Amino acid sequence: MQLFNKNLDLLRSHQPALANRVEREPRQNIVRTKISKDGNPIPQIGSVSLHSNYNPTKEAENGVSGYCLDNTQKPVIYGLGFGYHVLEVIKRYPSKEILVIEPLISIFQSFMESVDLEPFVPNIKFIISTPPPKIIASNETSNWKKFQHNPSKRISDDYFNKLDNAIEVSNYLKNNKLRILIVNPYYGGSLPTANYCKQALNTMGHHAESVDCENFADGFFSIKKITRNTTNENLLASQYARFMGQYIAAKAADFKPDLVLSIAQAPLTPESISNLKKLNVPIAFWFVEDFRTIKYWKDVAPFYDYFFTLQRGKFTEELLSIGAKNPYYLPQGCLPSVHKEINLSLDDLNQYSTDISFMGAGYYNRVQSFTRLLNHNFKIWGTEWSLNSQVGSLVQNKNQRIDPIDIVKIYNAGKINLNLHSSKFHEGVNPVGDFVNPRTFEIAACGGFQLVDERSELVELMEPGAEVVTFNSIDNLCEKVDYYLNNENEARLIALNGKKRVLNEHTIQHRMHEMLVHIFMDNLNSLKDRIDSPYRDSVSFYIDKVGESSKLGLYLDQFRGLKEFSVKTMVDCIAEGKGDLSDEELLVLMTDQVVKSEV
Amino acid sequence: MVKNILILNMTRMGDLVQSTPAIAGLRKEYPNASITLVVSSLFDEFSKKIPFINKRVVFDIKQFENREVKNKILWIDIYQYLEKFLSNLKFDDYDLLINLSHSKLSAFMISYLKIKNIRGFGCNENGDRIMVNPWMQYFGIEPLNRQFNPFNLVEIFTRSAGVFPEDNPIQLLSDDNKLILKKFENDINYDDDLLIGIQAGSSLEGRRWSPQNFAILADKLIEKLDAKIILLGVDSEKNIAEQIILISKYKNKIIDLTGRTNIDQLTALVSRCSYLITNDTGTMHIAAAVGTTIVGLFFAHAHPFETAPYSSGHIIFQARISCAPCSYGVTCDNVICVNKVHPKHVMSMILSHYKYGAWCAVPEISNLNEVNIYETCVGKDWRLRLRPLIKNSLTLNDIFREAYLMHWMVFLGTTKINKSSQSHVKDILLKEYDCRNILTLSKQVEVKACALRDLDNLASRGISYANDLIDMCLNKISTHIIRIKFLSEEIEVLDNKISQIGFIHPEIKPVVDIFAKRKENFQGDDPIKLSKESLKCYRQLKEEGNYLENLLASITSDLKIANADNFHAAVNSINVEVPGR
Repeated sequence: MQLFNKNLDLLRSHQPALANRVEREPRQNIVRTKISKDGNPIPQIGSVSLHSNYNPTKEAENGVSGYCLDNTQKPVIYGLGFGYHVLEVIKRYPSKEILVIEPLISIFQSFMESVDLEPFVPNIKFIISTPPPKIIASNETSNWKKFQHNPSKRISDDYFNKLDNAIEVSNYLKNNKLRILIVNPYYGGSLPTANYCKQALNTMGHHAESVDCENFADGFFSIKKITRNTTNENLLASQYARFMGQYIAAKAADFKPDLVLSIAQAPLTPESISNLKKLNVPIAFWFVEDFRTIKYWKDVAPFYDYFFTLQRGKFTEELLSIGAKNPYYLPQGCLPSVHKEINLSLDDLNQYSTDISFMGAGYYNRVQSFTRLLNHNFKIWGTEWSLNSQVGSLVQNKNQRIDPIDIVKIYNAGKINLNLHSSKFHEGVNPVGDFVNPRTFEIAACGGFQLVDERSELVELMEPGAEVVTFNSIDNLCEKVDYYLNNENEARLIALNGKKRVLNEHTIQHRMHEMLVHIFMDNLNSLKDRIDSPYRDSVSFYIDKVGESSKLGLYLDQFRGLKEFSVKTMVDCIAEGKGDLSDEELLVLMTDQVVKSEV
Repeated sequence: MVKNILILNMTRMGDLVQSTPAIAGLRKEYPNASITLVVSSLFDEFSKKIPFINKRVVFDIKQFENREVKNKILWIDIYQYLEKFLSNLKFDDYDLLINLSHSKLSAFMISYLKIKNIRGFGCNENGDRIMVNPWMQYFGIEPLNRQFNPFNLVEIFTRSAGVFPEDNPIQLLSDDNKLILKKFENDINYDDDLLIGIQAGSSLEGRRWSPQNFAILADKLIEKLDAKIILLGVDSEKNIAEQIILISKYKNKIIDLTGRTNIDQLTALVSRCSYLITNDTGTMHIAAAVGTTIVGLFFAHAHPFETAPYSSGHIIFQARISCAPCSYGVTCDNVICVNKVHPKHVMSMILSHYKYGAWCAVPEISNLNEVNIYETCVGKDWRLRLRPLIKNSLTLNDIFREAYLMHWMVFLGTTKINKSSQSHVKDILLKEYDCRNILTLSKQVEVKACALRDLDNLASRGISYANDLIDMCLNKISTHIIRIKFLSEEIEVLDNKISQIGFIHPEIKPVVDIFAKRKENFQGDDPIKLSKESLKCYRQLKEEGNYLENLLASITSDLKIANADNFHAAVNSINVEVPGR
């Protein structure tokens, strides 16, 4: 136990989130520790010893002898065991950071109990029991040089196969453009997430389009106003939902996506989802809400092919129990093109500068707890605040909608950004709060310093104390407010660390990459069939038809890869051109005239 | 030396007939050249009747109609067809191209073929439409100034091809009609029957006289002249024919041949008719070409001055209401023009013509003030013109239309026509219109003359600016750059003012519009060349404005004098009753 605790302390300074997990994770007792003939500990699972029963160090030396790296390559070791082979790799390449990927946390726990961690840090970054898509999304894999620990592979063959598969999928996604249809919600906090997903996917080189259901929000809300009869209201709502399902299907039929991604509160009924399945593409849902507060997931989750969530544990269990397929934990993120540090004008500074800022809706716990800060220079922006209250008088925008650019200014301008996760019934901090809101990442990406209430999932995402500062009660909040208002340099450093972490690991691009890898690990072949289809890229199809070396083929080459292509595309391109018209351009213009008049 | 001529005429049947003067003129100009005619596949058969053609090339884009587009490859099929079609034409190495199709498609084709010598509607290397020929430029402004246009489209196109229509009537090659007409021997006694054709349909529904009116007229013709009526038209017009027969009292005297004739048979039948009563259609132009007397019914957009049959001896009925003719592109939901022409009026005119062999104003029509009746005839200037048979009150539009006839003949560059004396205009107006309101009209003309003087001032300013620009561009002094920029801006302001005069005074708009059209056709970006072209435009504007002002003054003065003479004659003392005598 002494060794474990010593190792834990060392690990805490090196990988605090992992240390936290190792400490919290209950023991499963599947690993037995034996002593080899030369006196070294070796793990055994079932009848499989993960190292030589005689001389594990010699075995490791022999095993690693053929493993060579050049300057550009990064060593990645599949399987930890008790690390003898890892130490050999460290010996050979002492200046390199080495990734060790181990699927079983039990192995790692036993390792921590039996092996001195000191020789391994700081060279080793342990990736323990992490889903392959997450590993791929967080790491650049193009320079990986793999060392396979064969006994570990035997134990966790499926996992390592998936990891290789994930790498293959990731590489394929980087080199091919997917068509992704995003179904937006009518309204609410998840609508910006939908828009960010689209922007992120397009930035990544894919072709993402949205079904802008928010354009139908007025219709949706008017149903509630038109009748007080609940039966009638439900009937109208159901018909409206059916219409929206058809509307979305029409867009999908036209766009021919490789993936349909629905964002929380998108108006897709089970019937509509089943209809979309005729496309024979994955239909995914990103539930960016609190499952305990918003309950409609029970009706729709089983119909989706993939269900992404901000919460796991209990939520995952419940999802599986109702037949949901492939629940997968995927936290929120920021969009660097939107959430960034900006220069503020004098007017902006006048408007947005403050000691403490808060941007968000007037939920119960915020209304209750923010009164504790009335003695500070405190500004609030958001909606649904009671403007006549003490706290309400601090609301700068009088409950009016705020543009995203102004939100970014708020995050940039305040000395302390307050980030209290919402609750409809807690007086302050939710003691069992789990998921992390997008604001956490957005503030960090803007370089803002934030005080955020403790959340169980936060520890893995950002390092409290180093990259973000947390509070566990309103009293604690008040103390930290006072402290950091008087220690701005420290706050600034933490904000910088937080920004670095978030931009490296917690952008919407990271999330989308992880999502796509996860989905297409199961669907790569059908994706390849669709992408390789001659009807996929219409320009390529036309070139193929007329011949690549023909005059028309050569002319069409400039349009390859365009999202939309038609005769009009060419005509518009010609109109913007300069100089004499070529023969091909004249023929296109003539074709356009014929098409318009004759067909 | 021109050896190989290509004519693009991918338009409708009537337009093909109307292009025969141009083709005849080209044949005269180039007697040894080979003439190739490109026609639409729809009129492939008909085009065999166009004289002076050595070779026909069929342009068949109709094949792409109704093709399924599920594979989305249709545009490639069209592209490849066009490429092959035009490559074949290129291979034939034409040295003169006449474009009688006024479409963008034909303009692009011309640009692709790269034939240097072209006449008609063209396109430059950048894809911009160009109309270099003055008559083509006039054609470009005509749709916006229809009420002042004195020219038949045949005349405009023929002159734009560099040919004089006065010497070249419309014509078609004739076939052995007897053989062709044998098919209908059972229905028609060609020797005894007075055959009258009715073309009741037309391409545009709004242009048609009602089946009821046709039926009433047919009955009258049968009753009064023992005529045999044949209903002509395409298959889609069968329902119109059926309605006529249903209403008529003499069904056995009406033969429905709609959809039953090919083009040869139609031509033969029309040539055998004594009269063709028709809406503004291609059949009407066939009748004009084969010498059949036409009674034309022009409604909606149809405008006799544009599309009257281009030969003499025909009459045209048109509503004389403020909205006639209506503009292309509008859809009327309260059509009243078609009801202004009554079958009894048409019958009266035909009866009179049948009896006397000439058109004249019968008493029944003399008080019609909501109908125009024109006769097509050749005037003193050998041009075909429309002679009103009802002497309506002279209007400002009438004065300007006649004035523009002379004006454009001078300025659009035709050396064939002598500059008629301005008194000739006076004579025509006095003969064809009731000019007693000339005093009122002359005041209106004076207002327009004032506007023309304003135009003259603006044109002078334009000349001055253009001269300054030329000087500065030639001298290339860098300090002039600011001045050049200033002048360019001033010219833009000036042109807007010129344009505004046209809007405020529609009677002057043709002059303003052609000024703008000339400027549109500037080519290249050499500033000196462009400035010189600008100078030329302003000078032309000045000259034309002055000419028109003088012409109008002369016309109104002559008319006032003539009217005064008539007045004095009317109140001569000899004619005054002396009390008690």
